[in-house]
Amino acid sequence: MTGEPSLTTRLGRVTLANPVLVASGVFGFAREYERLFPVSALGGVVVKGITLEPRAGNPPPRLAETPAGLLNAVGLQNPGVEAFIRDELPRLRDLGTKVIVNIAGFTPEEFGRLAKILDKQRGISALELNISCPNVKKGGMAFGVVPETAALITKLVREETSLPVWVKLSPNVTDITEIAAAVVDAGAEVLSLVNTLLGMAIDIEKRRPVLGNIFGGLSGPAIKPVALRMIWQVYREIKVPLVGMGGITNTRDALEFIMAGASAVAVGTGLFTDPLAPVKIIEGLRRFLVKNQEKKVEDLVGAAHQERSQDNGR
Amino acid sequence: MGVQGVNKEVRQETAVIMEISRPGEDLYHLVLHAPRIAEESQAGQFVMIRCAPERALDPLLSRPFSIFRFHPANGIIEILFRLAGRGTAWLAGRKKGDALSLLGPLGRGFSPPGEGRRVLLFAGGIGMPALFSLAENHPETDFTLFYGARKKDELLYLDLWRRKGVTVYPATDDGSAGFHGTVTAAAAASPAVKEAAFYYACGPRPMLKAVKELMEKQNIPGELCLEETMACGVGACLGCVCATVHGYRRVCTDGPVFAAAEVKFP
Repeated sequence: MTGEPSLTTRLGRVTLANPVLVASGVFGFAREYERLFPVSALGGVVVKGITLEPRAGNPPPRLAETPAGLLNAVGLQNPGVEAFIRDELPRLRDLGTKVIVNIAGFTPEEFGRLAKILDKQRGISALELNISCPNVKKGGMAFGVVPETAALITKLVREETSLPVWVKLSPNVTDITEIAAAVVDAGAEVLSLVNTLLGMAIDIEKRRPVLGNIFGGLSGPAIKPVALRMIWQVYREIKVPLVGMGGITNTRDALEFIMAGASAVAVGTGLFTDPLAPVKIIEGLRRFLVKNQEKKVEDLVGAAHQERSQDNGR
Repeated sequence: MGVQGVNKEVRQETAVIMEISRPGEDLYHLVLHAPRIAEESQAGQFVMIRCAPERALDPLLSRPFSIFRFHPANGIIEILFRLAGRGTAWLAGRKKGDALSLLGPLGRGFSPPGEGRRVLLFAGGIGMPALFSLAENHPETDFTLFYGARKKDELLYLDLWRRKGVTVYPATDDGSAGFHGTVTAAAAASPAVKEAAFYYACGPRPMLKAVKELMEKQNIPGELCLEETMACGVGACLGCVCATVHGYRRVCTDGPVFAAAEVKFP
């Protein structure tokens, strides 16, 4: 074998230097972790979800730890799109990595308005539509589980921007491929999956729910098998690049998602277990490619879908 | 020293346990060699400690602990903690020589207490360590401590406090040591309160609320050190917010120390 293996990853019109992103909501606007590792080493950063107006978020407590998992109900706390453009985007442009802006609306039209506002801005590689955030009572949940609404939002965004449109899917559905097909038909170029699973925890001493919002989104290793299964299903049915997420904490997890069909992966809650997890995974992927004499990571995408007979023939 | 600024030198560091002891029932004292964190620590700051074996995924989150003492000269930090759940149970089982993964120092510490001023400290239970780091690093200040616990055995290191020149008024819920009742009741009965210029408090929320109300009646300003469940510890996830007059603020980076006047209690 000659030369370094390639980690370059194409997600439609966006090309990443490597397939490791950080997921929306765990990385803020990329201010906090730059003291711990070079953010430019990442394939890209998906910023905290942005809404039209500033949002205070949900009342605390917002977190509850569960077995190998984390429930959160932050409630889309964010400064609003104007403050984001003014205070965060100029710095994000200079990070030296791809910036994907996650947007959330409370009506389909709000998604369109957000897309129109952000379309004019430099330094954004793609928009990720948060049609699946389960935390806000009037918000994402309903959009993400109804194919027609999810498609309408995608279409309205497409009409307002020439930026690549990614759609982040909710796992809280009967058949994720149905939603995936609907949003791809409406113009989604990349699918991110999965968002958190809706859950709750109860404090038995106080005899009431732990979270201020009662329900929260479950993330972390506890949901990994569910997320992986959904990547597998969508990869078989839908021919657009996928970004896989849900409980990824190490290189092995990332490889499972890639082999199930994800072109890229995002580390979310795994960052809280080890802040250096994303950079360790990038290095781990490189080593795996070298060890297995693979030329590029893209050759591994969907590798687990090969017929079993090929396996046996080795 | 820039005490009020958020420390920009947050580090992930592998610390080695130099000593682990049990000064009270369900109370533990860790002495850690963590030279880079010790070098940068300020009174009132905290560290996140991974409370699980390496590569284990449960418990998932690191736990925040106030820094009790820090000694930059020999690279030592000390932590006091109470057995509270799965994470602290794992930590309590560690031995001398074991390694721990730390993130820190984190958060905004106490503002400087001022030379020669008479300053009150209110500690409730395992809220004591943060206040000790303040007293130890400001020998120029005249501190009076009201230190409350459920019972005598849970009042830790009273001698150490007194050796630092601090006047200590213990209080216990069961009356087994010091004043029989809360720290606020103990303080209300003490002449020290009338002469104080400032106060600092760390402890359970009901205690902090009562202290704030008592001090407001006396027109004495102060600071509260808060505790909250945290995920990232560095300000990114917005999971640990508390209600303030300026809206929700992150305990991990806007705090854990807040001006008492800012903090809203339900």
